[in-house]
Amino acid sequence: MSVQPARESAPSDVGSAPAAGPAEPPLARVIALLLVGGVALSAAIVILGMTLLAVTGRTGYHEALEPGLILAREGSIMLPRTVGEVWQGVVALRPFAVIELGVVLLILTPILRVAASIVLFWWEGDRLYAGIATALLALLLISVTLVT
Amino acid sequence: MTLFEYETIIFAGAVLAGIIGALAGLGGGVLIVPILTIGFGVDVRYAIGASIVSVIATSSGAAATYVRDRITNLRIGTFLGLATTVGAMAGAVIAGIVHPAALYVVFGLTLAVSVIPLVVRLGEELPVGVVADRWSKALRLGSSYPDRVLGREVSYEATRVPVGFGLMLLAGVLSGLLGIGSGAFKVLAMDSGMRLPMKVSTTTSNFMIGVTAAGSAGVYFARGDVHPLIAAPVALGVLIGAALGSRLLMRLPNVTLRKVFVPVMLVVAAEMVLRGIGVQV
Repeated sequence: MSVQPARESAPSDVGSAPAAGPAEPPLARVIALLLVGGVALSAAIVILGMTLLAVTGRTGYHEALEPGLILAREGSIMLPRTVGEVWQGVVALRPFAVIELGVVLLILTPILRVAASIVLFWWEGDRLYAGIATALLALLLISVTLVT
Repeated sequence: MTLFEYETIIFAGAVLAGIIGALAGLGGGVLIVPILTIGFGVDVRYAIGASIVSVIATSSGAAATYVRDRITNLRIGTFLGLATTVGAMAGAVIAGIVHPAALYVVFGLTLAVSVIPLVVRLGEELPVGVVADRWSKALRLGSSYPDRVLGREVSYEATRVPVGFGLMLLAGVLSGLLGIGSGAFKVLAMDSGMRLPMKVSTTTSNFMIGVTAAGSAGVYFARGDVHPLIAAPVALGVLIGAALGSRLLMRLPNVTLRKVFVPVMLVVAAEMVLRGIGVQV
């Protein structure tokens, strides 16, 4: 009786794309996994830093861990500001430095995503967009080095 | 208040900011900055540092879902990313010349006026009658995405690409000058400018704000504006919120997204004007 074609997937069917669209590029899934991995790693490091902070009751940079630190005026508290300082602090297991390491990794994820998209476009045989993505990455790296 | 209580409340606010940010295509700084400054009395510099972290967390937290579900238009995001990045560099260069206060007022008012075309099209689920322009054809900007709410693959075209590119340049200048993600302007450029479906506009903006913010995050970090006690609960909360928001977006009609975006835009506009006239938010 029913002449309507059956729908490919119910709306609740998470993760299955309708058949009408172009096939999902396998690398899109790889990039999604890389993103999840990078984000999870940075979150895990931030959580580790917070745990260290809670367990030791020290920031690694200040006398005491107290609410006043949150309300401090700009520049009045000591923080690791460069990648080198962060790294030295991490080696010394200073909780603030461990947290900042996680934050730095998080900051890097969008740049890594652009880099991954160059590979994705190239893989798909899309030379034009592999080129545009390369130009974008170059501009980004220039702006990062210019401002810092 | 104890430190634990501070951290918990900031975390909760960040989850909310992440959800709204992922839906509206902006970084959640709109919510994070006033929560921190007005709510807790945090120094505005630290609040802005946390907002940059929030922008990136929103972008990366939602990205996995959007990439997997092919909803972000990576070609449009990459191509327009050229404009925002160049704009941001120009903005950073002229930041020393132009007075930011006046700019906040001008752009805040511009944003408020830009709400009008969105309100007119508030009930529009998908743009109709969009004809690809020369640029869109040459750059293959049109695409399709699987819409779970409509239960079908939705094909779309991009039009007025030079307008979109120009608006993105402006959004970039704004980011460079004011240190904001300018997601609201990016969504406008794609929605009202290039006439893309709302979901494609917000998710592509979501991709772009992360890239823009990552380009300028180094400055804030080197200045010592990224405060671990504030950035940590913000990063974790926003990541969770954005992951939730991105899943929610898949189940919402475009019309609902518009209804989320319009009030958020008005809040952004009001904040910008207030900041311009010297009210610290």
